[in-house]
Amino acid sequence: MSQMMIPAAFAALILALTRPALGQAPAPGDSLRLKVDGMVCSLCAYGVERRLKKIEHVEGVRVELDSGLVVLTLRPGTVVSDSVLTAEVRRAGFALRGVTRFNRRRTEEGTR
Amino acid sequence: MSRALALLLCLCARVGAAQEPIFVTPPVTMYQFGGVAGVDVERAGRTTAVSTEAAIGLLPPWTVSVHAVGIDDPGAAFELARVHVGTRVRLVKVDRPREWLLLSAYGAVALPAGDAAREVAESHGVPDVLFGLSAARMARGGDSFGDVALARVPTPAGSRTVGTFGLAWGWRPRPGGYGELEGQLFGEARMQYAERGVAVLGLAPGFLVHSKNTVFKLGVLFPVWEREVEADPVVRAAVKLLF
Repeated sequence: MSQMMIPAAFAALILALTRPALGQAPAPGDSLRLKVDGMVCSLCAYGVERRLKKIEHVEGVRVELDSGLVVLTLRPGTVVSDSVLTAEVRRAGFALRGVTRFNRRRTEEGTR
Repeated sequence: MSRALALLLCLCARVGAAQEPIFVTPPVTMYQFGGVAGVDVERAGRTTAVSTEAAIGLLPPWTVSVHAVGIDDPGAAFELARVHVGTRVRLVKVDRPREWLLLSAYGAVALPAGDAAREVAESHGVPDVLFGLSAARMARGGDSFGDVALARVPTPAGSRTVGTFGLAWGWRPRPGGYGELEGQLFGEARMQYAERGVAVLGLAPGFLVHSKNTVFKLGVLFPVWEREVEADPVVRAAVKLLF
């Protein structure tokens, strides 16, 4: 009996070490702030949102019409290039004027 | 006023989208696979013209549409006059912060629908072919639009060319955030031009409400001046749903 319990306990230990603890949120991904010209109405925003959501690694899209900004959240550890963003915004019918990247890990380390 | 001129109005408001006027043709940027469904009713005396449209954006700068016009005359059954296929293509778009300027071309052509439909189209002046240019400036606070179009209208003796010119202004009293319910008021002016000069001037108040990608538009066009004073005034109402 004790011979069977040792491998089981070992497996449980491995699982506990490799799995995130219950209730612990996954690490947040980087966020990108896109300056998009030409967005004036909700259908403009919807078209941009739809295109950007289709990009691989994009987890969330938030459009701020009044400031002409689109905030993207990426999956942790992923990157989306400026050329992909430019192409997708252009396909939506608008113009990408700038990208500002916020690296969450660096930001957190910098504040410690 | 002749039915030919009245029905020309119907054709000049096809393929709308976004937060734009109801009667003046907008040079729209529609997102891919966004759609428009609309009904347009025009009444002159006891005759009613009903037109329906369905449009879809295949690409943001390219929209295709189908449009049908039927006539309900007193003492006769409702008759189909024309089925048109149309398209709209963006020519130039300039994007600025919270503003865009746009020019587009649009056109529609009637499909063969049989002798009966052709006779109805001839007697009521439903156009065979339409071509137009549309320009717009849209901004967060308000919008302005203009369009000019030429149409070939069949007659029992042949055909004639008729033109229309439209201007519209839109105003957002309280611009809202993306996803919030927002309203916009419109004032539109339309002028029709035929062989002997200006034929009719019309004004149309209208409004739209939208939330995210669902837009509802409603407007009524009233004649304010008509050359043929003995003719019945034409009143027109349109409803559109965009999604």
